[in-house]
Amino acid sequence: MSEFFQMGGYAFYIWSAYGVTAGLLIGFVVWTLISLKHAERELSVLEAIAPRRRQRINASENSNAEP
Amino acid sequence: MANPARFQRFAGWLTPWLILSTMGFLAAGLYYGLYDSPIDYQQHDTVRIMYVHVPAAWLAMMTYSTLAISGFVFLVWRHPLADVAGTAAAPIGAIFTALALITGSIWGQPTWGTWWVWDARLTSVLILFFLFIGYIALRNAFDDPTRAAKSTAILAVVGAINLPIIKFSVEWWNTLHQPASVSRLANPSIDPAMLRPLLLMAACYFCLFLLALLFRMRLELVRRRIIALQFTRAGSAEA
Repeated sequence: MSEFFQMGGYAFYIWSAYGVTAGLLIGFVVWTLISLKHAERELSVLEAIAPRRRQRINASENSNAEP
Repeated sequence: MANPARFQRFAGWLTPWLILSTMGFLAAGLYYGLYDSPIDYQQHDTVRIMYVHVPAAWLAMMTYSTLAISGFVFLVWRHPLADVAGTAAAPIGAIFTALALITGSIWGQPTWGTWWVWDARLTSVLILFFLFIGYIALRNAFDDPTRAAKSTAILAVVGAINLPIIKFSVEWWNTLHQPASVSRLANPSIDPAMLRPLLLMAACYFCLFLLALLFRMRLELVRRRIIALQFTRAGSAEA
């Protein structure tokens, strides 16, 4: 088992490469999900204030998007 | 796919499958990459860095293709979802390019004896990174979303010239970087036992890319609706 972690003496290089990869990718996914949650909460607040207007925007969005 | 509501439904259906396949490819890729694959006769165990480095570089270029294609589609057909896709792809590309550069540097030290060299391949990939960063900065520089969309689309399309430069940089110029080993899938110059973890990790990265793209497109659609709602509220407050 310890032989596996030593990686033939290249442990530092291999584990740092895999570590940076895992760290950046996980961090990016978490950041994306948190931003999405924040944005969705903000949107629901805005929609609660103006429920009638929301429907109108939805309708116009759908008609605009379909060319 | 043209309409945002239909896109959301499609994304919702696809997400669990993408999570499953990302995890599956990751587990298999790590098992073969770190444990059940031979060491290189010259590079010894450092060859295992290839399984996180090469897929990152592939995906960095693929993400830029996505950016350039969505820019092109936006410029020609003015399709709003193309602009949303471009906005969503740019930070993903920046992450993959950063990973290719960082892991390449960590690989370069034990194999080439240097962390960095200003040769054609490394420099052109660094330019790719700046293209992604420039795309994000340019978008944030405009208040008018239509002008932002048009300018970033032009940048993305023009910057695509860098993709063949990256691809052929190892053949056109002298470089420390080795040429492609998997350019011909029928007869790659790489041991099948090394090709297996490489392709598994590439599949894992690809599924993760799709997953990130779907989530970031959802994020961008929500942000646009927030802006639209604030705009109509401001308009009705004035009236």
